[in-house]
Amino acid sequence: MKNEIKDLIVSNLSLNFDQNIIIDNISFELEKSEILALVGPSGSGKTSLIRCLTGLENPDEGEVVISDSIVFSDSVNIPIEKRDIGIVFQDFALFPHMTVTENISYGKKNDKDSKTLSQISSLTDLMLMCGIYHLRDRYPDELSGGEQQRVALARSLAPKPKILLMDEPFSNLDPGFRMQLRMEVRRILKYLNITCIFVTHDQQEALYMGDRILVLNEGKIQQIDRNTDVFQNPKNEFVAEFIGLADFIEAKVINNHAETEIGKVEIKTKAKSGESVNIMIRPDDVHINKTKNGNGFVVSREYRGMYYIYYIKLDSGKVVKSLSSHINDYNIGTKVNVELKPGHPLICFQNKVII
Amino acid sequence: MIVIKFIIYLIIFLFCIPFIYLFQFGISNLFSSINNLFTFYYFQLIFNTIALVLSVTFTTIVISLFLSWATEICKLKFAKLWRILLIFPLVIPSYLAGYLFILFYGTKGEIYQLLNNFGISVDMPDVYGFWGAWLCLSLICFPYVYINLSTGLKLVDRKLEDASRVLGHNHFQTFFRIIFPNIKNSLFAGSILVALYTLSDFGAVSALQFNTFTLAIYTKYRSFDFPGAASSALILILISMPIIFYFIKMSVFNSYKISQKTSNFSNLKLFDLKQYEILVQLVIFFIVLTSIFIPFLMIFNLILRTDISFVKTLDLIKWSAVFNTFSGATINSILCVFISLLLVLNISKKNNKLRLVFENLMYFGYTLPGLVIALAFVYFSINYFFSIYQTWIILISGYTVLFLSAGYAPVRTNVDLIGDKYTVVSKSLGKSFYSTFTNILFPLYLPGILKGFLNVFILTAKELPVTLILAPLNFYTLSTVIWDNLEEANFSAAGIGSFLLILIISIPTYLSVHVEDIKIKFSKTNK
Repeated sequence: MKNEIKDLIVSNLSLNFDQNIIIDNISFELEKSEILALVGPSGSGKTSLIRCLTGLENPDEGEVVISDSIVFSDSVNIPIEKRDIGIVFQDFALFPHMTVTENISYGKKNDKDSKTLSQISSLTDLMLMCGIYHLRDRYPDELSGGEQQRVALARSLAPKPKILLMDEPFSNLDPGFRMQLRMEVRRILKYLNITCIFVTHDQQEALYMGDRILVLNEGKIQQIDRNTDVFQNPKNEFVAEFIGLADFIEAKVINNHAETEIGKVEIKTKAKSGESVNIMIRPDDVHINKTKNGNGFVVSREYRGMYYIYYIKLDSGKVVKSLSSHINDYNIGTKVNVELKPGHPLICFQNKVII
Repeated sequence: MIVIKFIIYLIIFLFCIPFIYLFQFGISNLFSSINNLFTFYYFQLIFNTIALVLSVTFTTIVISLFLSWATEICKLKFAKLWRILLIFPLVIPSYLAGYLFILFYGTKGEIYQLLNNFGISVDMPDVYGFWGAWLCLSLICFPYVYINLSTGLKLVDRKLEDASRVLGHNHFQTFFRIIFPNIKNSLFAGSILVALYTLSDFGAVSALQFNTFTLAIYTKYRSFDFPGAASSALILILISMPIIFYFIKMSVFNSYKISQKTSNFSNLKLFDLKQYEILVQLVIFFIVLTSIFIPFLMIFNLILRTDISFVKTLDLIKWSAVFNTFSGATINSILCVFISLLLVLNISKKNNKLRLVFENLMYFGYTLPGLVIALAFVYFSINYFFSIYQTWIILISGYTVLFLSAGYAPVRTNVDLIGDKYTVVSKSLGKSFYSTFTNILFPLYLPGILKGFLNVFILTAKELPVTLILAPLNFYTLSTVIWDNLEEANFSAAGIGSFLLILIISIPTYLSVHVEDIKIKFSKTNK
């Protein structure tokens, strides 16, 4: 499938602000109707990258191609309004003096001949699909956060953009509601086959929304991969810690196994026998049992309803996290026996990079 | 508490004096001379006044829309400098502007002479009448709209602009469809101020001899036709009722709507004018030139016209006027701010109806031409209270009625913005009311107090008709000195007086516009 048209090709994109490197030589591609979750800590350059793609910011170098036409390069700089991009802003930016219908039909393409029947019916369909048809005559400040979010989504979809960019769209909503809304938004995007970049700093949200995940830190791509791969095979310790909880524990490689202070586990690595590595363990890989003379004790715990996350201090002084059923109610200071039972080979790092 | 109540009712009474004058003396005279009403003379007065108000308001809107777009939305060199300079037409009193206008553009004015020196003899157009009054007032009033618009633009969420661009609209479509509807209120507020200024302006129209109501009232008063002045004043108020009504509604309403969202400046992307920047710069420069540089240069030109001996000139300035202007303005500002604070703190929460009545009265006072208020106080003191006629007391009372709202509005907005949460916290920590007020509330109210003080100070220092009519005999301020000397063509003395007056009010003017920024920052950190 080499000749398939990509919806977005970004190559060697860089952006500097007063000698600060905001975006450092980024290249990636987006397949048709793929959702890419762009994730990174705050200040990692996510929003700047989005602004560069839309033309709200002019990159210093690089090339941006949107479905076969160059929108930015050394010699080309297509103005924002002609790039065929949709954006959903973090704070929605709905036009306060326009009703929901007016907001949604504001886009240029609807504007030209907004009176044709097919236009009207497609707008109605869109509003129905986004569940805002009953709100069509209201003004933005008469809507709840979730409703505003849907209007913002519908407004950006109405001109049928080639790519949709969503800049932390759920961060202004309350957490319970976010879960429901992200299911709905993903359903709509998939139904309409929208190619989308979804920016978030929440790794759970990234794992849910993204077909693929791009992890960004300090303006550099740390990893871009399918969401399961990013979680299971992080390329470096930063990604491992950012996507899900992770601990790193020192180990000595012996053939396909590693010897650690809490037991021997199967690993997959290129490291040779006898080398020292750090193996990544997720809280669900670490099992604990209460015993009088265990090899660690509970220093802290987080109750999360269905389960606990226990922080266990090992004899060596290293603290690891363990996921444990809510039945196991251990007080702080309880002596426990710590075991590694991952059920799959673990991955190893040397100098913070996978090996 | 009794003292406070007494003060509140006294103030309300003061505000009723113009009412008594207009609706007792004015109406009785209007009916006794009803035949005179339907004459060409009155028709012309009404037409002139309305034409001037509409044209000046429209012109200032056009100028200010352009200027605020250029300085707030576009990427412009010297934008900071322009923003500062463009508020300075406010420091030029209208009577001075009127005379300078004549001396510069008039038939034998500076332009004529300059051209003559090059051997070009041009007949300058007649500056007297409508065209002069229109241009002159437009050039000194536009900052009212400009300042309002710039503040309004700062409050518009700039993300809306991005959103509109992404949806396929270019910069100008976005400005008119998205930005403009969101600053309509600011535009409206500014235009109402200009309309009021034009309606009540007396200096420029009398210098440029365009016969509007204010000039007619003054002429009648000077020829001792008091009933005629009163009935004209009443007609003026009646025809300006729509504007007065909107101003009051807007002012009372605005002070209820306190929370202001500020846009995120870090994301602000200014519009690149590219090759058109030079054109925009030229237009701005032209506006600054005509509204600021020329008047200022003309003031120095006046000073250098030593028509009489230098010693006599210095004598004509009456140095006590400098002191009087400064102290009068200071005393009145302190008084107005003090009264405002007293009123806001005492009748705010408990008695909403009293507050509404009071605010309506007060904003009504602001909308009245100074001339009408002055005549009302003359009428009142002569008929009921002769002992205060032509004393300090009546002058200060007149100033208070005219300018209290200018001090009240910022104080009130600030007090409402702070709310009573800090008072509750401070009292719950065991502090007395006095200690709470001095340590917590006063510092928090300070931006509003300062802005109120500055507003009243500028207005009082520039004020002419009230001072002219109500001041004690041989009491002069810089405004009356400038006015007298201009009328008697003692140009050097008028020039020096103007220079001193502008010196006194330019820093407060700059600060009063700048304090707005402090207040916005303040409310931001508060969130």
